[in-house]
Amino acid sequence: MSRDLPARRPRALAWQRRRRALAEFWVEFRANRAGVVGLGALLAIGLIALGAPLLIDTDELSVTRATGPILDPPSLSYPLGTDDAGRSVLDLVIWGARVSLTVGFLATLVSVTVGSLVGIVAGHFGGWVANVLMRVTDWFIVVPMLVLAIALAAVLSRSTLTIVIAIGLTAWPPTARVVRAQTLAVEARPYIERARALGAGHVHIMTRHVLPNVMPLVLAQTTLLVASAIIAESTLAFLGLGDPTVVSWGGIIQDARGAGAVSAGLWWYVLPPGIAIAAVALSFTLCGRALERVLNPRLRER
Amino acid sequence: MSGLVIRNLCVTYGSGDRSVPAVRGVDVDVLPGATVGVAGESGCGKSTVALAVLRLLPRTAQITGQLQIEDEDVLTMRWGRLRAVRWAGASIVFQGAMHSLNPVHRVGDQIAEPILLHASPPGGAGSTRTRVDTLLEQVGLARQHARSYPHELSGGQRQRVMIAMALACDPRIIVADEPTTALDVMIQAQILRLLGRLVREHGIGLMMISHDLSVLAHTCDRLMVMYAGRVVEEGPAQEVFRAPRHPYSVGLRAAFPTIGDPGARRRPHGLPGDPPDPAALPTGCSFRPRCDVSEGRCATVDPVLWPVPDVHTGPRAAACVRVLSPTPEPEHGNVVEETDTL
Repeated sequence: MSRDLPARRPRALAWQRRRRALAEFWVEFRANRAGVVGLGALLAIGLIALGAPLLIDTDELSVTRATGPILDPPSLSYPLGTDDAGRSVLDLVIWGARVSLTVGFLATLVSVTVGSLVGIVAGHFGGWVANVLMRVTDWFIVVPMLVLAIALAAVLSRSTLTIVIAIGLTAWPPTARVVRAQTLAVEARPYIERARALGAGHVHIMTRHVLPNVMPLVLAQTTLLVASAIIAESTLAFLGLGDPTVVSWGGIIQDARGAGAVSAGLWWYVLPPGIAIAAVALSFTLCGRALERVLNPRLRER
Repeated sequence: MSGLVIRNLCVTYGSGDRSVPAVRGVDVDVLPGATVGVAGESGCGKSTVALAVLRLLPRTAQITGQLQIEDEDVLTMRWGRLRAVRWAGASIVFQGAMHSLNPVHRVGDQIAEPILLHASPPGGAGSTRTRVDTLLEQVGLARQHARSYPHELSGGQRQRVMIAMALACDPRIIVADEPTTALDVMIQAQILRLLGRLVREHGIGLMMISHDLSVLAHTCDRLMVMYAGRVVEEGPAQEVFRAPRHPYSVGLRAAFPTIGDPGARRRPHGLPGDPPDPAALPTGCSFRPRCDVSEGRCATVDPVLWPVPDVHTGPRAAACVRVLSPTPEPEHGNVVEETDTL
């Protein structure tokens, strides 16, 4: 509502301030070299994943239409060798990034949304509402995440969406706990009492006053969660619960195992997707830690 | 009677054996355009009264008595109606302006918050902004400050923003809970003058809460002194300040030096002892253990507000047996000042 102020000067000032704040943020972030490396790696992987359709002919990814030799070691024409259907492993790994990143982000979105909702509601209302919600959260923490995800993926139909839901519905409890703790801290501030005195309702307080104040925490939590979501996706795909028609990193490793790559010493088939999973997870973790450090100055000194 | 009417208000925290009476039967009348000061030391229940006006107390508090804003009983009000009365009927200027503003929102948006919550004005966003500009102007801030974040303002400016916010919905009553506590003396005077002027101009009833008797004496029409959850003295502000009749008011006044009085240099001495534990009050007069003029009957008589006989400018009352019948002793008004408690 304040965005369309008629005077131009204050708006210019606001933009200037915003730009300065962003520059300060970047300086802080840059001071953390690991974070910069992680961010660079993420940008590179993201670009490759987005540009994959330009680099790869989708026919080459089909088991039946692939033209390469079978289980060939790395060569000039196939830098990472080929699999048992004659597909280029490099192409598979590049294409797999698309699914892994998409599932990672979507699953994180689902779990962060559920976690923030549960956390804020539990922190705001307290009493028996908080008790019920936090006991449910405890239950989800105690139940082994992988087993629950397998059960969900088995019950629902086989698709990428199922994997997203399975991961999203099992990864939210830590977010809920962290958000609830922060909500309790924010709710103790006088401006919440002031808002209540204004005649504000529960929804107004939760969305206008609590949410903006827990947002930085949620953001840092998100980047850390993407890494574990990607690993969870690979795990489910490796266990054969993913969509078999979609190429993903976990799926490639499963195919490699099925082809006896481990015992036959076909390292070019097994290692690249595994390294890709580790690299992406590591990049997200590095970024998340750096972000956490910028947003929470108390962590910076150590 | 319009304005704010409080009759026999009692607030008890907790229940059963562990219940603590914080307010024990308080009567207050705040008429439109009038200013009433409530004084007392920490823990005497004055902030509890302020929060009770809008039913902002925690769920563990039990409130009894009568509390009316504009002839409407707040205590029996339904939740929806209560939300409507909050801020539109009565608003609050909170203690710490530093912390009563949300750091992530612009000041202008926060002033607009009650307006949007209560009545979306017909003109939409434009008229809300005009209203915010008017409010900022009234409290002596430039309209550009609407675009500032709270941390960009000084303490005095922030308190002005809080006052602008309190005026936003044209309330009939404003409760100012120690509005100047964290401010320096110069800013304090400015804010108090501003608050007094706005309240007079708009015909708003003001209930001002403070521990500083001299501040209240200079800004209020009537003054109430609270002790251990009760009003122990009440009367025209200047008169109560000049010639307090309850020993506690005497002590509270003596705790602040009077400027221009050479004798005051030796004086500022606080009251001996601590405020009583509300869960275990002494028998009779609750001020008795700290009172240096207490006598035998104070242990048995539970004093209520008795009218003070020799009044000049308005009705006065004090809850001290000495008001009823002075004991044959030297005049106690001087006794306290001469006692050297240093």
